[in-house]
Amino acid sequence: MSEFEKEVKEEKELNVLEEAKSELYEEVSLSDSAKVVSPGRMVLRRFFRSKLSLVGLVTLFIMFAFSFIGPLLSPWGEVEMTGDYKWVTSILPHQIVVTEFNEETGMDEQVTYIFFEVSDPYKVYSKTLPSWEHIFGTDQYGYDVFTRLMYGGRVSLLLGFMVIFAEVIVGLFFGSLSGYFGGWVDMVIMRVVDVFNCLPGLPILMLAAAVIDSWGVPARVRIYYLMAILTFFGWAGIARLVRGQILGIRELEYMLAAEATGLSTRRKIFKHIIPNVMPQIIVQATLGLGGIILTESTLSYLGLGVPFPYSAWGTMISSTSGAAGRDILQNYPAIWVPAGVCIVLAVLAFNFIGDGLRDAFDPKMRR
Amino acid sequence: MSLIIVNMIKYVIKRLALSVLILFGVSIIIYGLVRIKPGLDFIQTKFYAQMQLDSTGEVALMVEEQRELYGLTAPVFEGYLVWLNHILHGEWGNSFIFSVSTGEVEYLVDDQGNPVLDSEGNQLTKPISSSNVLDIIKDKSRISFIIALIATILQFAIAIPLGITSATKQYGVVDYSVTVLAMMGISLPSFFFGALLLRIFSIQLGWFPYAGLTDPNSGLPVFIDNLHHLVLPITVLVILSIGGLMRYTRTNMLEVLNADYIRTARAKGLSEHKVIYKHAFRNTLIPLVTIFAGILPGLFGGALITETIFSIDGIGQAAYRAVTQGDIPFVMAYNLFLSVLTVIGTLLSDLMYAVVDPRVKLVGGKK
Repeated sequence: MSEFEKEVKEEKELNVLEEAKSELYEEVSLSDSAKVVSPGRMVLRRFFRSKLSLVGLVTLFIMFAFSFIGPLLSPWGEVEMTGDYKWVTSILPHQIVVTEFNEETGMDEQVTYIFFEVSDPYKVYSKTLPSWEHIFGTDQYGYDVFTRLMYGGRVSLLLGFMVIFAEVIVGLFFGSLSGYFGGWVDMVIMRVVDVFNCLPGLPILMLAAAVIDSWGVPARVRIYYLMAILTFFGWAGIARLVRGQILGIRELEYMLAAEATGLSTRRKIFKHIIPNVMPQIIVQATLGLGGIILTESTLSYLGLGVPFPYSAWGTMISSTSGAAGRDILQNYPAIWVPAGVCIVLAVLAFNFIGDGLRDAFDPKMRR
Repeated sequence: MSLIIVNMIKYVIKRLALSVLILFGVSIIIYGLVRIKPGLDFIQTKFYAQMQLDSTGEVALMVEEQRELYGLTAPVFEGYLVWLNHILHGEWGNSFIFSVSTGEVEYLVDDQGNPVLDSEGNQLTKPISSSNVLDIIKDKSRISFIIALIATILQFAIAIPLGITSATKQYGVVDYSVTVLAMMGISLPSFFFGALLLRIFSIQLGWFPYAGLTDPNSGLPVFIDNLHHLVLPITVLVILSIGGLMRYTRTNMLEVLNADYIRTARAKGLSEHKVIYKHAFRNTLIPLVTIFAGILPGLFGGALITETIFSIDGIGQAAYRAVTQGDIPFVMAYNLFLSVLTVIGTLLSDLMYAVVDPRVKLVGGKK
């Protein structure tokens, strides 16, 4: 059988299948005039009906592409100074072996030299105005602002998602324990949640960040500590939400049915309660993501977040603060305004999506 | 009637007990944060250089005294009790970097104990300054309170009417634009918005002063001059917080507008104005009362970022400087202070809720 015949045959088979399918479909739709739509579909449709949530989704998509694909295409690096170098800077050691005359022994010997090509640029192009080479110019250290925006986006978006994920896990765990078991478990967990809710948000984060500062944590690792801090002080809200939801769900008929069928506790929690709490949590998490990005950039702005030389949106704006930043504030808006716009766009996008999801999950709330 | 009062008193007592418990937890977390640091404790770190230079041992003595206050000489748990004991006795520790004049004066005496007189026969005095963190909080929060008070009043005056209009004309042009603007306000980072305002209105247009609270060269009366300086910071505070309140008002108003008694009011033939402002709005106020919980810490706790950007010598800026300069005694006290405010605010808002809405019953005993 030739290749062509094979293809034709396959196509025929496919057509037959397709026809059978469409017949089946027609039959169903004839007998059942109402179209069957799954709840998930309905949510999606309601979500996409709202223009604002669409705007949010598109914005977020662009942001992700910008931060994660952008750096691959950018000719500049995150910490690459723009300047005139005498040599190409490289952090890898070079090794050359030369034959040298040794005076002591009076013989030629092989000597190995290891050297690093490290050269500071003798002229750094800092604070240059926007050009084709540097779309937003360079900042006070000679770094390309546009590229650093991308890396800053990586930090903010990744950190936001990691923290909210961790918060949801912790919050779900304690919230469902508290809501499901009630009694003293509930009592203890809720008092702890109360304590966390009474802690002042930013000042306590600053205290924690300052404490970590004094430990001398290396710059690269610091962001993980930051995540841990943000999660530690942020899970309480979700735990409380989950508990409230579960208290409501526990009284519903299907839980009674689950009880009557003799399901295990584990199964009841994971199969029947958590899926029903999920919509609220997803909404809360999406709205919370914006908040986390704001907090992270505020900490970075205060110099307690992502450390120099790594890039963060907050840090880029902090170059305007103080007497030294007056010049940048006044004359180089291209250094700090784009970062601010990025923060606003990202937070706004998450808020729009969160709002859209809430309306989509719960149509009652809207009308 | 008397039963209600008894119930109320019972409720308040129960809540107060709970508040004490919560503050206890808060203090554990705050103390724990400063104690988990490995190596030297914060007081030793702070005075390490001075102790090395000092030969008389005076500094070492003072350091020991300070460490005693925070229970740093004892193991963590014991140390916490020592610290708590000092806190309860009003000894909140001394700030490393701030001192304020207490308004009292010390009469100068010479070696023999005779008063030192100036040429006119008046006894010479020296103002006493204190670096007790409580004194500093009291002193610095004054200006912060004034700013926050004006901002809060403005915020309510703008947000509530806007929220109501937005709800009564749901899905109209006003509603959409107000919703989007509110969302933007929520998503704006204060440091970016502040920098933007400074750049536009202070540097470019020159309408408002750049920083601080007074300008000796302005030629305006002090009060007007102060207000002039406060326009931008207050704008930041108002714009950033208006969105949340507005959305809250809108949601509540929408809920109330769907109630049966509104339909009744309309059916009676009342004017729309009367329906909205007399029947609907008053009922919207009930949930608004809960917002008071958030206002109290905001009123006295200062605005950390905004004060820093506009160089206003309030408690927020003090907290920022304290964190950046490692003034841990002040930061600890500030966090505790804010937590106390939050606890009181929550308590007040719950009580207010019961006062405003007679349907809410306060339960003193077990629920």
